[in-house]
Amino acid sequence: MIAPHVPPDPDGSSSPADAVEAALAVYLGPLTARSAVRTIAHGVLGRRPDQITRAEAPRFVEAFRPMLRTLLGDAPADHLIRELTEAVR
Amino acid sequence: MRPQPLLALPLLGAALVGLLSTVAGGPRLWLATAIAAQALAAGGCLAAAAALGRRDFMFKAWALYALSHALPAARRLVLGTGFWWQDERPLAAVLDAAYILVVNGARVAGSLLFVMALARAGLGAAAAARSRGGGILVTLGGLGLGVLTLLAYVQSALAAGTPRGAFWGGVAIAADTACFLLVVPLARIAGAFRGGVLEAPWAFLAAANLGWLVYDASRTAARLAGWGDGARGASEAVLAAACLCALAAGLAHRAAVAHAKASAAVLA
Repeated sequence: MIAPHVPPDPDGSSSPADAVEAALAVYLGPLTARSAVRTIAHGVLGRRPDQITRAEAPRFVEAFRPMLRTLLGDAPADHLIRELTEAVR
Repeated sequence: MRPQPLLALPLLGAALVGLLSTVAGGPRLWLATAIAAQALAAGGCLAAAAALGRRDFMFKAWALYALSHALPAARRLVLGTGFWWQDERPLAAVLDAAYILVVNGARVAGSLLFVMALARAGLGAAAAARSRGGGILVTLGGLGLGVLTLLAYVQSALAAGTPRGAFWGGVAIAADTACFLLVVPLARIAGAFRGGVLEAPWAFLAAANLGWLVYDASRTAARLAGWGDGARGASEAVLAAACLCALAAGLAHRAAVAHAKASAAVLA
């Protein structure tokens, strides 16, 4: 069984960056997912991943679209971005 | 689809070809196994391409790889083990040139696109951060093996009195060597994706490219050393494994794309 995209977070305690990292790790592996989250957080928002707020999360998630489009194609990338945006809101 | 069952494809394919070679080895068997393996490889690449949109970056890579396997399978079906260069008519020379350039150009270009995918995705640093020492050694080894194979092939083809065969065979081996040099970056990308579903496609692509150069080297060595059909059987087993690695790579990438689509569809 392949792990789900976004792991369950019933109490909403995990940060947006953690949720995105866990979802990306399914595809990129844990090390590259962590590296991607750090790079995007710094490059797009100029912050550390743990400093990203829920208000900034949609913009943060959107920044992963080109990466996912390249590796998985347009339609799956659109679906994943929509799913991640819902999960971190 | 998990990578473990896919790993069985090249292993079982190579074992089957090796077994058949010891029981009933001969030109007809090897022609049939090569056609089957290359057709399966083309099918796997087409399966991956079909899961993507035509404008997607990876679509082009899979389409080029499919072409590079489908054309040799079709040529073998039509011409058997022969080439057009055994025909002296001018049209044959044009067909030779077009076939060799398209097949090998598609394979090199496809391999380059697979290597470029990581950088295009903005993840180049993830692969570059890994150890370089082993990669340099493998690259130099591959280059040396490729050049030696190329020289030995051209020399033996010229001695056999087939200069056109020597030239175009040399072009094909040079393209195989170029693909072999891309084994290291492909393996690095697979390493960067370790633990993710995208690890398997790149790992199988690296193995497929490696298999092609081992095939070239073993065929040239066998020709020079005058080895018999036993060595030929081993070469054909390597060819089958290389082609089935391409099939496994295509199926693994298709599964990754399908997973991304399926989970999102549940949410929608």
